[in-house]
Amino acid sequence: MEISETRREEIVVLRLSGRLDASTAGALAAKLRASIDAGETRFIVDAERLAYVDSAGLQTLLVAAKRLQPLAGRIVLSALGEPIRRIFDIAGLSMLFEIHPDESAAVAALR
Amino acid sequence: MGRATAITVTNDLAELERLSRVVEEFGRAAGLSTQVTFDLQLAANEIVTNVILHGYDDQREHAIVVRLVANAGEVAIEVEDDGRPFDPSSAPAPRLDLPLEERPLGGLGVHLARRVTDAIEYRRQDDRNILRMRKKTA
Repeated sequence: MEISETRREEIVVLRLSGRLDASTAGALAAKLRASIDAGETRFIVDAERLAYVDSAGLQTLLVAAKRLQPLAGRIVLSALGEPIRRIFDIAGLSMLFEIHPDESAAVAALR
Repeated sequence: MGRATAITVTNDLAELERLSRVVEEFGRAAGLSTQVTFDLQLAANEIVTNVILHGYDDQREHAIVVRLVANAGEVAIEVEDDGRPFDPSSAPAPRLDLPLEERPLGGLGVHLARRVTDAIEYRRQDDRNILRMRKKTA
């Protein structure tokens, strides 16, 4: 998996590509942890180029969302392909995360 | 005429990518749909991840065998390991209706494996866990 990190104003955008599974989730967890430690509170995780996600990846997002909640922060998702969206639905995460059709819509929602 | 393959991985998370690739190639060769193949990858991946992370008390290398068999209308995937006894078929389902602050982090992997397959059967045999999952393909 590759993670590219950019900023859009006060928002941290993490674009994921490849496979988010138990062998790669640690890298995403470390990035989120470091950014939250540094005071960031608004995140977009863009999944346009994400091919695969499993429970380890979902847990990583849950951990970050739980940590951001008392900080009035938010982590939202964008561009989930159909197979990925289905896993979010089955895992009951679609009701916990805002899911936007693309990154621009996610930015607009976080502003 | 059925189609079958098997792969042995070690208890190293870096093996997950190779496992997924083998399942993907099997799905293509067996003419399975993209979704069925994705579900098989997920189910195999979740069960093997659990074994690697929670199955062993020592630091030694262990072999985990994954077998795939496709027959008319159904595909079966079997995971065999020498880890501590664990029956995913009897694990309680996680609560998915709870708000974020109460949502548990664990239990999602087995839940996903069960939800993307149609049947899951566990047995303990000769000190080994054998988990068989079946999925309808038609």
